[in-house]
Amino acid sequence: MKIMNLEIITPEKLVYKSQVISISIPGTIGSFQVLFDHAPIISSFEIGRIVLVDRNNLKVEFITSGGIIKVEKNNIIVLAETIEKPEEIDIKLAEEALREAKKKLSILEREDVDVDRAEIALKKAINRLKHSRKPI
Amino acid sequence: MPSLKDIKNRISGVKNTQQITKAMKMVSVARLRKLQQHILSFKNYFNNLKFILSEISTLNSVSGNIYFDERDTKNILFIIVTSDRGLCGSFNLNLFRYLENEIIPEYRNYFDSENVSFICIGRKGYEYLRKNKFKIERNYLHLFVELKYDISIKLSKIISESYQKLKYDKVYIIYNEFLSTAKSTVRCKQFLPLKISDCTQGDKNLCEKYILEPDTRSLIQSLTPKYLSSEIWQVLIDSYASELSARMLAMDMATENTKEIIRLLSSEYNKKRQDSITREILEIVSGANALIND
Repeated sequence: MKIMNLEIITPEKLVYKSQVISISIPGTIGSFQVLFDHAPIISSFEIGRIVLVDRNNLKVEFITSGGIIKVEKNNIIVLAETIEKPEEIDIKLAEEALREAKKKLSILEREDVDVDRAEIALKKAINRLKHSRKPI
Repeated sequence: MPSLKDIKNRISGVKNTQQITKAMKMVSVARLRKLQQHILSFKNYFNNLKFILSEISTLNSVSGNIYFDERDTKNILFIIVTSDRGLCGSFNLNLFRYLENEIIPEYRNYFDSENVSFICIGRKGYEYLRKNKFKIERNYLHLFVELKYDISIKLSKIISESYQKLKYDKVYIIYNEFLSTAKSTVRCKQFLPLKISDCTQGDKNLCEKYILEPDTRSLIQSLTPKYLSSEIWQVLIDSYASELSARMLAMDMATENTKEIIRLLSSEYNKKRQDSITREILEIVSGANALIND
């Protein structure tokens, strides 16, 4: 069987370590899928959803706020600061973050509001909420 | 002369202390064990991140990057990591001594012209710096109560932002490096600018080996903040581990010490008790003798 080794690592723990058939990543310049014998690549990825197919042909989903992936000789390493399974998402917390970010963005005149950061927070919150509600 | 009752009281007092020190030791052991798992899994992340960064960054690709470029040093920022609470032996003291004996002489000019600022993590360091009237930019207390990675993201953002605004030209971190449960040393680590030698593998062209998306420069751009946060995290967990192991050792020694004190006190107590018994018997005997003689 054409399988690859995958490790998904955050600073706090090893989130996932297993063999997979494929993995789709929301890459910075476009989503892409990694299959067996993929060329060596280092790519950053954005806020979004990672979907992988494990060796039992089951889909596993992760929600991430961006990170980096390295593929080499069918070994895949995914590094991300936050990555969660859809069922792990704290909807309340995400909704709160969404409200907070929206509030910040609505008062653009104020100097102490970091627009970029608020936008990123907004994106993260939306991403979390979007995927938390429809587990596969 | 303390009476028998006084000694008894002291013994029970010392016993109480012994229970506390024992409990504190156990708590430190448990926390350290939990932390060691964190350290282990973080190492995995950190090494991979470092490896990727070193794979993609060459001397050429990092030039012009604000995090890598050396510039004339006018202002220095020191981040000192200490504990919030005491009872951990010479953990904090070692760091202060290092600061006094190594750092201040080395950067004397900057200290004299007041171009040095501090960020304190931990209450002990804050108290020390305030007492010695250093310039404290920020201080963070009780970070270690609930150690979350978010903290280091936040911290590194704050620091790198003021670094970008040219508020500081060099940033160092002074902390206790965790070597083993019995050993830790004080270290001063350069945080910014990033040392190219740490992160690159010289000039060899690795870009051909990997497809890089989007491109080298933007990759480095997005990787460096992550690398900086992980550096801070590394320092935080290292320092916390050293603190816990220092406390463990200190409390172990204290427990041993109380054992010794209890031993001495009980032998004194026994001697005294024997004394008073002997004296009582003597009194009775001499009283009886006096009666017989009458």
